[in-house]
Amino acid sequence: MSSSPQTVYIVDDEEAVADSIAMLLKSVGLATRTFADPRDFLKQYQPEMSGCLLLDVRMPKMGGLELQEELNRKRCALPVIFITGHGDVPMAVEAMRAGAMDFLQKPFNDDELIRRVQRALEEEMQQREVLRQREEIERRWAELTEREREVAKRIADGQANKVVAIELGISERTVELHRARILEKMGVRSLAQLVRMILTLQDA
Amino acid sequence: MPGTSQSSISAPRTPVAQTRLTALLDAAVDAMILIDERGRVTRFNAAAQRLFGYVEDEVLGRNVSMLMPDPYRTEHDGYLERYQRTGERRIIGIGREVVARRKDGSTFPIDLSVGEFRTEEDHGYVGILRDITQRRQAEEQIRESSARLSGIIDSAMDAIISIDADQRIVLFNAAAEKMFGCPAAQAIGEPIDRFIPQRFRGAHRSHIDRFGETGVSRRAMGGARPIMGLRTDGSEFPIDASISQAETQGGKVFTVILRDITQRKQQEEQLRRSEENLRLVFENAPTAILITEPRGRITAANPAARALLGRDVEALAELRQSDLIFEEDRAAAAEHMRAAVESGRQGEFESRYCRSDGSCFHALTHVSIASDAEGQPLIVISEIVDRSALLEATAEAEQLRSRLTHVGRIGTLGEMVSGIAHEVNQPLTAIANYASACRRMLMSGQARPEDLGGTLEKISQQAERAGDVIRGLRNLLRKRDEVRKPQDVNQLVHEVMRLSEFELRQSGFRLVEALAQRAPPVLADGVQIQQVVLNLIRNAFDAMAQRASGDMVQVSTRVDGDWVEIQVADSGPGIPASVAERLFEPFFTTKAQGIGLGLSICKSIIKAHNGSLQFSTNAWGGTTFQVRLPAAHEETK
Repeated sequence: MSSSPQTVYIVDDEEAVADSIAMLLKSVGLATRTFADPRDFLKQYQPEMSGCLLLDVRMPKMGGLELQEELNRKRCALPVIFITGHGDVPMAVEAMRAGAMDFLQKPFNDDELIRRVQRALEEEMQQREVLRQREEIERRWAELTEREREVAKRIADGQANKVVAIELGISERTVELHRARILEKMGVRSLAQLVRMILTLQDA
Repeated sequence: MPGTSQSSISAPRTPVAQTRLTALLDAAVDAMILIDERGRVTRFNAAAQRLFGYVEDEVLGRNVSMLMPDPYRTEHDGYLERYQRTGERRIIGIGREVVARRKDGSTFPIDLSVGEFRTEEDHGYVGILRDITQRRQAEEQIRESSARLSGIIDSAMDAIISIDADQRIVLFNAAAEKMFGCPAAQAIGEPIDRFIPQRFRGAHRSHIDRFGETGVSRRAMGGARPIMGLRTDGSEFPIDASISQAETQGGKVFTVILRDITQRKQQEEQLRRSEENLRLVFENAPTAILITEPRGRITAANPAARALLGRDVEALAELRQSDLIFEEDRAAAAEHMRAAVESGRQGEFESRYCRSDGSCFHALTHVSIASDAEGQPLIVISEIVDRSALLEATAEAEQLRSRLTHVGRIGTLGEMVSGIAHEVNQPLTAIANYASACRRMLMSGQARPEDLGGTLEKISQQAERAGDVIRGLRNLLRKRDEVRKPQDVNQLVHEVMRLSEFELRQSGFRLVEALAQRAPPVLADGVQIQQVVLNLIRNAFDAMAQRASGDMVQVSTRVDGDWVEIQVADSGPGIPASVAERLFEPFFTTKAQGIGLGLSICKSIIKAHNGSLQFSTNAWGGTTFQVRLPAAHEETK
């Protein structure tokens, strides 16, 4: 689902900081949105949002860590880069532990910011691709019949057609028909590809 | 003499003799009465008639006893008969004082002398009488006055001793008895030497002799030297004596009046000693004392004053106190002196004094006025206390306090450093971002220079903001001398609140400002007042952080008469009584990282501004700190 373009969401109560970051990112062609109040961002958050989050650790009404926690609860996948001030390293560590991707200490070098943001966006893009692929697999998997899923799991486990036929009490020929159908439905050409898909499903 | 011729009994026969007798009798001043041998009156002369109030005829031929009161009247015949029988004379030829009786019955004393005459044919007696009533009265008066005199002598407080020309005591009164411890009976007849110590006796005797020769009636004894008395118990005592002399029939009599002056001597000694003590106090007093007359001329200066002023007695004696005072201070000092002299009350003033070498020193002068009974000032006593050491110490203490407040400020700001760094970081971050955005946009051709005016404007604003923070900080951190000038409290408070806001970011507390509409200026060191307010605000945050009890700190200013108040109220848990007692003590703290100087420095700053720093529990259950500063007078305009 690459429908929404990647946007950098900047949450900082300090208007000048948010505004200047937005301008800097725009200068390298990135789309941005600024929020002065983390609660506003939380209200407007949609799972479809794509891009990354630049979050000030210190904010009066809701701290950056608090917002991160809320977003984790909503299973938000946007990578978070924390912006910290002087002496906020302990907070940054906390943020990393809670799943933040990176942190930047103010005042920061512009290249550094841009590089980190771009890396975050790439990562998000990849993640999003993985996610998209997995959703595709799940969707296809859901299209299989009960018998086809049973056969697919046994094949993926490495059972020979003959063994599958005996254990399920069907003919070897029928097993082969199922197998061809499974590969077609799952959109793969080799057994190896199917095995990988099924492993992906089992990971989830 | 009519009617007398009939009394043939006693009258002389010859007419010539008869006439002579009559003339003699009637001319006599004294009363004369002739009686016959049986006591019958034969003649009663004119003086007798005046004396007794009888005419001769009433008396002639009657018993002379009619002229006597009882018991003489009844006894008279017996006297006469006994004399004629025995020849024993009781009165005849002797004369005596007897009592007579007038016709009106009154009696009176008479001096009576009786003579006897005897011829061949005649035998009788003649009585010559003199009324002695007046003499008696005079005698009585003399007796009384002499009794009175001896009463006076005996009751006199002073000892009175009379001596005769041989210097033997003839009079010794009760006071003398008491004074010398000797009864009069033992003293009378003794030489006066007995009451004079041995060593003075010779001189004394010759003194009295010489006095006798001068003929002066009275004079004090002893002159410059005290006279000593000698009691019978051998003890000596000082006396004050005066002597008088009088000639009497018995010769010269000296009378000495003596007063025991032991007590007076003791009092004099005490007085002398206390005067000596006073003099010693004055001479040895560690503080400088100047005595001047009410108009300012110096009459005395103790050694401490002479040393302090660097002048000797002679130099000071020619000066007035005001001459010693530094010229600029002279008018004010003179005013204080004048007020003290006029009111008679104590006063004090600060001034500089000059030494003879031209050097000056600061001193506090206590002025006291000694007045006479009518309240007229007699002398002015000035105690001059050299204050240069004290002023130096005060200046040093002031310097220390100033350094401590500076250290306190640095400490406070040190604790605030992360908040401040954040506050500076914000505009710096924004500036850096804006600048590099501009650069990139220009380089990439996304924007033309003229498109970036707005952004550059933002950069300046942020730079200015960073500059503001730094300026505020530098003001608080700079080590500098205290400057007192009229300050707008609202302005001071507002600036501090800006600094405090940096920290609010972390805490999430609200800081509310409630300033008075219009506040009079206060004469203050602005930075120090800001330091106090900053401390109080930070304490408020700390109080609320300890226990999540409220989220508001209100800083307000208000005007209360001649005072301007700054209040910092928190909604924290309040201050426990055990802490409240020691709150302003140096090094007392409840904070893990605190050193406990914040509030004690605050207190010393406010005290140095003649203000007060107090705290109380407020309506939210938190604590309100109240700074009160005196409003500056309008004259500073």
